[in-house]
Amino acid sequence: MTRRNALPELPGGWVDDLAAEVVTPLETGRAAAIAATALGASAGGAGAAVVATHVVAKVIAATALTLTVGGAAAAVAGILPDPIQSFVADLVDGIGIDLPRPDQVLPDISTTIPAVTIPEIPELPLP
Amino acid sequence: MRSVAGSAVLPDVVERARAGDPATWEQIVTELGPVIRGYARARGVADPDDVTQDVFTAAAQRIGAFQGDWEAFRSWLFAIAYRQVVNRYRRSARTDPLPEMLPSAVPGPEEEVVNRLEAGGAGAALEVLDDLERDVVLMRVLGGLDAAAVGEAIGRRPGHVRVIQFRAMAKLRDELLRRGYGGAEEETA
Repeated sequence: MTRRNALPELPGGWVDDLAAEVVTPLETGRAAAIAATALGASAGGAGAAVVATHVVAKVIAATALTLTVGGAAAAVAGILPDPIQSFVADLVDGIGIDLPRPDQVLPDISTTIPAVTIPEIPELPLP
Repeated sequence: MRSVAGSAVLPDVVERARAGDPATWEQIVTELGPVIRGYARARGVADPDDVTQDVFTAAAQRIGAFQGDWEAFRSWLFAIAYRQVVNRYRRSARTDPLPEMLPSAVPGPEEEVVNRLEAGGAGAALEVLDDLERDVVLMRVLGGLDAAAVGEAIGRRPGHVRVIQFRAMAKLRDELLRRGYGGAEEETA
């Protein structure tokens, strides 16, 4: 099998040895089998893949549109779950849109002030 | 127009391949299959036959978008082969399970390299090169691609390919001299 070495500065003996080592003719019938498999895959697989890709893309686009429109309506109505409603309200607040925020439940804060005893400071002895 | 195997390739081979002619594809696989498999083998992939099949399958699926002549087709096929090889290494890096314990009897990566170097064989000299240098040398030596075609295949500019090649040649020449290649009779040849 002849071969075109594009690096003639390498020792020709090594290039020949390397080619003999790794480049071996395909087994009988192997080329036909590879070609048939490749063509079979391209005939059935590619067409199906294109169709499948289109269907998947349409489903993704429809889902994204539904989520966007539905999510926006729910956010305006203030019926999203509290953390999400709060997050969306914070997000659009930056661009001047005021959305309802969930009622904030504040924890009880104890107003009892513990008794404080101020130690008596001894007077400094006069010199 | 000459093929890698030295036989004549019809000028309209790409057109006939695009039309899905089985005989043309068989001719293409016969011409380039051994070189593609040799490239995968020299790059050390575990399944060079599978790589060869995957390369031609991908080529058959994408040939509708391919533009160019037979020479460009060869470069394009090597570009597919390069990506198949790189993807296989990436996949194996992600999926190879970590050993549960350190095996003492199994040689480590360094030891494997030393073993392969000591085992001899022309391909063992490639161990001194990193992956990219090996790709460039193999595509140029086995595929006969020029720097521009190699650059297209591996996604680098031709100037960058020449830099990689220069570095690879320096390493490889030393290694080949050490292995007894490139003696006086070869220099005068």
